[in-house]
Amino acid sequence: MRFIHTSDWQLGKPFGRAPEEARSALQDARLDVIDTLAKAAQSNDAKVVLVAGDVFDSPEPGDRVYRQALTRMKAAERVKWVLLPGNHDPARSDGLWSRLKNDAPENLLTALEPTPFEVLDGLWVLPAPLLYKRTIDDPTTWFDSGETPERAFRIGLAHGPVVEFSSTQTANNLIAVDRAKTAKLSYLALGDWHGRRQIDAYTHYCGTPEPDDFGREVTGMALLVDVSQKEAPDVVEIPTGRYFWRSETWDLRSGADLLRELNGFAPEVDRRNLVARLKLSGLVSLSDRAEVRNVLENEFAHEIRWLDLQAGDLFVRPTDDDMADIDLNGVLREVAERLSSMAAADGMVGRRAASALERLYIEQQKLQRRGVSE
Amino acid sequence: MIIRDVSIENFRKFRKPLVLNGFSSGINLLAEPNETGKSTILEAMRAVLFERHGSKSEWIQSFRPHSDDVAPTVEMTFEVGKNTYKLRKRFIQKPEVVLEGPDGRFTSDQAEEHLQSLLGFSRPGNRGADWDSRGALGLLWVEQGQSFSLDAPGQTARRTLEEVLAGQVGTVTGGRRTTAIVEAIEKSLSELLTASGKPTKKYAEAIREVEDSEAEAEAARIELGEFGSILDALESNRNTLRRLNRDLNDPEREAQIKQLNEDIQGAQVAHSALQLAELKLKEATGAHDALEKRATRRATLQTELEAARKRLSGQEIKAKESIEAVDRARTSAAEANAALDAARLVAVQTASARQAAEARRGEIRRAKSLAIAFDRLDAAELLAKEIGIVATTLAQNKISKEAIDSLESADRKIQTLKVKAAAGAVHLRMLFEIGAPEIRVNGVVVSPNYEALFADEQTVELAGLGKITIEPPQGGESALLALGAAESDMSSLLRELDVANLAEAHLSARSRQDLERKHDELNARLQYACPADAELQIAEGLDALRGALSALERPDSKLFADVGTDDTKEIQAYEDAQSALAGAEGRREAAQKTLQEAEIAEARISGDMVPTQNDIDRLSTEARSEISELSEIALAEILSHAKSHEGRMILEHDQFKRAAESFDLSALTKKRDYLNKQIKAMADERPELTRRIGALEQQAKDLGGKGPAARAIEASELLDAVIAKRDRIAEEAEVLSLLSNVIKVAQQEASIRYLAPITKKVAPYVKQLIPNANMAFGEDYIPQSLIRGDRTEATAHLSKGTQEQLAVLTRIAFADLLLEKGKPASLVLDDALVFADDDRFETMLDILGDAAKRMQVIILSCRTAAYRPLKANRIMIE
Repeated sequence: MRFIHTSDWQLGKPFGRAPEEARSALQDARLDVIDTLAKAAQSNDAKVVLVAGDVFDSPEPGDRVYRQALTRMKAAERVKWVLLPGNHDPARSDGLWSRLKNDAPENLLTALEPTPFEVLDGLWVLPAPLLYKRTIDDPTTWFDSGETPERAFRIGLAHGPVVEFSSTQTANNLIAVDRAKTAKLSYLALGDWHGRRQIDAYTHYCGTPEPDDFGREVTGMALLVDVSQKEAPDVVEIPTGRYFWRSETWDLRSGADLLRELNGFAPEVDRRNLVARLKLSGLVSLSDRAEVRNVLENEFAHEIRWLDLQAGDLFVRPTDDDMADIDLNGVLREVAERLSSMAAADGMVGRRAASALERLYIEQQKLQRRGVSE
Repeated sequence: MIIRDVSIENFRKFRKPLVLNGFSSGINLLAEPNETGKSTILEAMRAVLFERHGSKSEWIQSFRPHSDDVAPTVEMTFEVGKNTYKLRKRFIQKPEVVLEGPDGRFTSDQAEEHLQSLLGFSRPGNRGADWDSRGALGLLWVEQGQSFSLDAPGQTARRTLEEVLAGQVGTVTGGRRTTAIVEAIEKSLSELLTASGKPTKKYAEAIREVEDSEAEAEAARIELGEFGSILDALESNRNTLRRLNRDLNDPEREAQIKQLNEDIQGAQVAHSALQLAELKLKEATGAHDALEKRATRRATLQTELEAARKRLSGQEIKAKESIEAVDRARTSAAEANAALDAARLVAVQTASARQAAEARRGEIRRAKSLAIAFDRLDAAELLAKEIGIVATTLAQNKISKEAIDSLESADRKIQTLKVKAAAGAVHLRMLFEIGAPEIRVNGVVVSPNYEALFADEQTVELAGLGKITIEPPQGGESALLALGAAESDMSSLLRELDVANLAEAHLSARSRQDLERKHDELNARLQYACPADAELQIAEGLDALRGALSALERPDSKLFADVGTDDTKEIQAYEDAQSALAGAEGRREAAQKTLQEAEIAEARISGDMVPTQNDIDRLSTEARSEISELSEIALAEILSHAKSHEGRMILEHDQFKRAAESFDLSALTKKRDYLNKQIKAMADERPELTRRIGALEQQAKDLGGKGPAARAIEASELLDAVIAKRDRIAEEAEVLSLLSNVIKVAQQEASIRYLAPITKKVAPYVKQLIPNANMAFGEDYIPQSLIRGDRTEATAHLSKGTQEQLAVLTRIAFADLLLEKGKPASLVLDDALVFADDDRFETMLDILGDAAKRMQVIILSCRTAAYRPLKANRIMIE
């Protein structure tokens, strides 16, 4: 029996730190993934999509996101959606979920009570809805005693981590790592982690279908699950994400280093769908620094969806050529020399002088391009 | 730069085309009288180069000849380096510019820009070209009245100079680039900070964005908080309602109420039983008390009876004693009565004796009084007679006080009129000697000694001699008439009063007064002689006396002369009898009082005995009947029975009381009522709670639709983003400011170094003009001081002439510097050197002549003669 396991849609995530033009694209992509999932279900003959928590980014996402989500799910008539509240959108009474329960189209089920229910013939879902952002108890404990008819497929649906990461702080919503076994589950569909992770043959994190941040090994997918009575479930990864979030730290010695790195950077990804955070470090000449800046800000940043450039650690050491470029002597040369020696100072003063020197260099380059001499 | 020819049309006073050609590359002199238009020519040369053809400013409008609607047009051919340029500008109407040179033909803005970069000046502002925009040429083309100006060069000129000087001090490049970079940086900085360093435009916008976002984030946070509160309230209300419903159906409380109701019923039964027991006890106690009282009463009866009997025997003894006392008092009273009768008899006898004596004495006293009255009448009659005589005399005298007053008044009137007549009349007095002729006055012959007073015309005739007429003044006549009337009144008055004159009247009046006084005195004496006589009952006055005595006879005084007046014996006897009578009366009164008291005492004692006897009768009857009704033994038995019954009732009552006390009825009722009230209150609370929940649900729905949580997250992230942006911009501003400052400092230091070549360049000219002198420049290229040997003078303190000469020399030095760097330069002086003395003027001409070997010099002057020695190319205005 087939169904799709997905989680962490986090609809309505604002991406407030992104520039405006990137923001709405990133927001829309999260809604679009509902359509992608509907298509994937239909083309794979899966009648049910289980969403393991964090459907929305916040407990009150606002009418636009809410309506968009409902409309898109309703449009996929032959798909039955089962939504579970997660830590981002806990089911507070009279909040989002109460409205959702009332507004839901026929093909949408909200799993708000910790009781088993049959979603298809023989396919029983044991949900562990989160009522609070944080709970100390394992919300899946009741699965062990949750009763279902004999020979029914018992599918656990829960949201939370299975491993306690921090030794000093108790993790919240922690789920017993062997819950699938103790509750005799056919499959345990988990959400919370945005990256795909298989815990055991029966226990899976599908990850978010549309990546939403840097620093995670997230590719953006859903899982097509086929459960059977005798064997472990058959789990197939289905790519669903549009944007690829990549974070890199490059240590540069020259402009050429940057070009080499850029050439080898995510060649598999369509640059339009790339979101990148580049942390640059190293010590380069003024001309290289200007080139790096030019290439990244005036070319690369426009090629991809959003470039988050952090070049604070890319330091400049002006070469003789750099200084000669500014001037061989005269006022500008004098200014360059002064700024260069000021830049050697630590902290803010040094950084500012370095920036001023760079600015002088760039202005000088601009003049040169305009053909102003002497 | 060498200007070759200039043509001007429709420009100020030059309506018709003016062509100036034949300019040489050396010195050119345009010497014409005043008002010929030299300055206009310079203005046109400046206009064609520095003003924008398309400008419509007031300044440009002023180019147009007065009240002509034409297009001012200027053309100029000039050389820069080896290239020749042809420039034409038309202003205001169909404005155009055409620049033709080796690079081709340019028009419009392109031509203007080309010109600007060729000659090193800037695009002028909206009001037209100025000191700043005209650049180095502007500095070298000196208009009328400006030749002695020592102002700092304008910005563009200064930049050009700096570029040139940068080369001079050995720097290879940088002048113009520095300027361009400074401009670029300042432009970028001006997008962020104002001149005074306040955030503006982009920076200000970023700050505003942060403020807006902060407000937005705060609002979203508050809204989210409100939403949370609503959900909390909703949950708490729901829980309350749930609890309420549970409480309303609490079986435990129902059982409690049921038990309470049962208890209350039990309590009510016990209470009734107690009430009955209380009633029975009261009855028993009552019976017992009644019997006790009866026994007590019986004992009291016996005691009272004995006391009454004892009292009666005491009263009988007292009664006997009082009867004896009454008898004694009666005897005393009878004796006193007899004594009183005797005293009365004596008193009557002495009283009549005394009365007879008194009557005799009264008769004698009246006779004596009557005799005196007759004597008084005699004296009074004499007085009355005398009064009659005086009155008759008085009646004959007419001169009363009023008559005298009338006489005196008439006399005063005469005197007054006499004075008046004397004033208005003529007093004529004539005294003729004896033998004088006959004299007639008004025809009447008068004596020779004549005197008259008159008020009318008088004619005095002297016989044989003639007439004298005398006319007195007017007014005298009437006074004389009045005087005559008054004198006649007076004489009639005297006649009436029967006196000769006023003096006689006065005499008569005085004698009348004496008579009146005597009359009054006699009347007073008469009144005194007839006083009122109380004894004889005669009123005051003569008439009363006469009337009283008329019917009486004068008594004979012998009748009472020897009668004695001693009646003391009768009076003494009378008084003694009276005292005796009073004593007898007192004694009888005392005896009667004693008798009365004894009788009262006797009556009281016998009265007292009656009630005592009655008491004894009543008490003995009562005692008898009581005993006969219930014997002592029977009473004692009943009493003991009643006592024991009461004891039983007390026990029974206590028992019921304890039973009733075990139920506290009021507490039970209170508790039951409280529980019922609780139920009602809860039931009442339910609808309000339900309503509140409904309202909160709606609020939660409405507010939830706005997505408060999402908004809060978004607002907070946006805030972070705008803060980062603002910080980035702030940092950019800091970096630009730093760069700008470092450049400025470097520039300042450099410009100090740059001044050296200028000083060096101008030095030979200064020495030529003022031996052993040199000039020092300030940082702003202004000639600052003149150094003569050890003496340093500020240029501002030099004479106008010297200032002007130094200014011209500085410009020659600037032009030299520009030329050395291949920059276009030419010198134009309009009416310069006007303050120079002959020697200096000559020297200046030498210097200018020398300069003209290196540059084109154009001199505009009205002083044709002064410039005659100058070997110059003369340009004529035709």
